[in-house]
Amino acid sequence: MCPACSVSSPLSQSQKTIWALITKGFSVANIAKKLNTTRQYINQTRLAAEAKLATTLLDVAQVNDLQVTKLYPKQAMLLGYHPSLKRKAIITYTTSHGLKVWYWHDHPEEVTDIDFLNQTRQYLLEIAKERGVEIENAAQIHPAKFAHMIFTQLIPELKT
Amino acid sequence: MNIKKSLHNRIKGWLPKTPSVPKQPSAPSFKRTEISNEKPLMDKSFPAESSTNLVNGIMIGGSIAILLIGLSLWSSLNSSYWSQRNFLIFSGLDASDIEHVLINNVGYIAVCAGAVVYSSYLLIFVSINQLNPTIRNLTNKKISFRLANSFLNVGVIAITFSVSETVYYSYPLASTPPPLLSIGFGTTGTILIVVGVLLMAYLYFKFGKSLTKAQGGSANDFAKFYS
Repeated sequence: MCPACSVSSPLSQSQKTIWALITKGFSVANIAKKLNTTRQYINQTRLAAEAKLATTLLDVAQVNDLQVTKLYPKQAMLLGYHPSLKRKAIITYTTSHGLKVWYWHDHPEEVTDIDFLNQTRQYLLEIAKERGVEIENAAQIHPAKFAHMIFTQLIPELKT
Repeated sequence: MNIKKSLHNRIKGWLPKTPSVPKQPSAPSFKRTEISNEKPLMDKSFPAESSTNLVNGIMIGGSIAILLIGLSLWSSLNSSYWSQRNFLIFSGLDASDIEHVLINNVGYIAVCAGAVVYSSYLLIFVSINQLNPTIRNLTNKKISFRLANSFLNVGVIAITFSVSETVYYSYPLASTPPPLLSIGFGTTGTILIVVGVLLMAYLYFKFGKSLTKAQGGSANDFAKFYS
């Protein structure tokens, strides 16, 4: 693990940059040109980043007692289930905010901490920006619903 | 209708929980800034004093062993000299017995002696390298120390060959000069050992002090040394 890396932010700076550009939809050739390097380097870095993220997501799932339903290495997301809480859970990663574990809430309106909700919204905006997901009127939507809208676009299994 | 509408508008969704971060295994990496705490470079499995005693013991024991081996070889080469003076190395044997044993087994003894000399050398110097934290760290960190170590190693091997060859070939005819190969080995070995010792001494005095100081000194000293 690189010196600046941690569990909540497992990628090195170059891995972050390349992974973020790929997630935004840039082609490998374009990224190689932009960063003045080879396509092979970009591909290798991407694979290394995905492998690191996958390992970290699985570690976090294990620590949080989640049963892994499906891992999405390219999206850096993990869909799981907490057997004790009897809730679905999702683990996400963004280059700027790191990892977060999400639980399904039937009554999210009971959560009234404004700072918490604002932070959540910021995180979701970051995910949406990184993954290229566009949601209209994001500022007016409750973060829980906003999260659901983003996650259903990124995780096909949530639509059913 | 109102009920349907209210159900439709009910918020359901995902809210985060700060992930529990798994405990990472202690990293083997070397953190300079934390190293200046008490005796950080000491091998924790060996208390400082006992390791010093062990090194001293090995050094003294090894030196005595080498001295005895040297005396044995010398006596085998000059057995007539020693027999005249009734010199007894081994109690219970007279000089003629020793001479008889040595003459008949001179080659074997020479090779064994060479092996013992080299083993003793390894025992002493490798032990010092491993147990003495200053030298160990210098040897690990400074490539020049490894070079000096290599000089010493190769030098001792060459000297061992030289002694073995000389004894083996020249004993039966004591006046015969040692073969050229042996002289070559001896000369090369001596040069290498001298260079190795000088280099080691120079490096030890140049860097050893700063490291020793850093062991009990500040983090800055240590960082300065490794920078």
